[in-house]
Amino acid sequence: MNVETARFGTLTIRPEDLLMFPQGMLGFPEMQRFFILDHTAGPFRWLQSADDPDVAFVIIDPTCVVSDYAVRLNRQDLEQLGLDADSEWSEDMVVAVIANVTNPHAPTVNLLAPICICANSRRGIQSVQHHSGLSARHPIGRTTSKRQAA
Amino acid sequence: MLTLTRKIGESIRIGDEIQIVVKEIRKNQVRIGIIAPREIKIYREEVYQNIVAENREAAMANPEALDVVVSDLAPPDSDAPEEPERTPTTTRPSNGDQPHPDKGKKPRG
Repeated sequence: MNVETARFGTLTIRPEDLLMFPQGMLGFPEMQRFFILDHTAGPFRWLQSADDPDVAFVIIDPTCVVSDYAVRLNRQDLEQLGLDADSEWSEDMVVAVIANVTNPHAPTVNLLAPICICANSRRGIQSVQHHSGLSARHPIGRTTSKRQAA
Repeated sequence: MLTLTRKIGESIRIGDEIQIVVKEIRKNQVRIGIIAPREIKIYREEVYQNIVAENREAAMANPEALDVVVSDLAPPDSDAPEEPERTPTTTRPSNGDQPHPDKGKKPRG
């Protein structure tokens, strides 16, 4: 299938590359189909909407920013990912955080509302980490990882 | 806005599946209990608005800005990389060799 994008032109996507977000992202409930593109360099990727050419999020492995980052998923999160509510952590699970590069010299990541994708079911959610004290605008720096700073 | 008056222990029903219970009233605080189907997400308003605003801004990301971020984050050549699998060159080809963001995370609950 061909998908129009504002940033990357018209792309040909295999249907199996589409990720379904049954509840969309917060503020974007109607956008449920996304796919992932690599950025030309560096650890970032793009989470491009297949429903709106203008909507694309920059995502990154959170452990590139905070080495001991962990997410907590509740039963409804697991159900939306197509996983058994009693299932242990699955190897199919991928966690990413959204980067905000509006000011490219002060980029931040949203640790409060990470994205979780189940590679097996091809489903994704944005999971708000209630009571975590995590920031929606955590600065990205070369030495913010606790391990690198130590 | 529909406004209703309720006493402690009384509740409000929204449709067939959502019940809002007034649990406790203090000076300028109210404790509210919510019974709703699991697929309905419940947030404190300010948390919800914070994330929506952040999502809306992040969704407008432009690739040139990201290129600036990538080159700012790449250490100078004299810096020895800490992690061997993440060699920080700015010219790494995007052939899918980026490490997968799924390492070392376990659910806590």
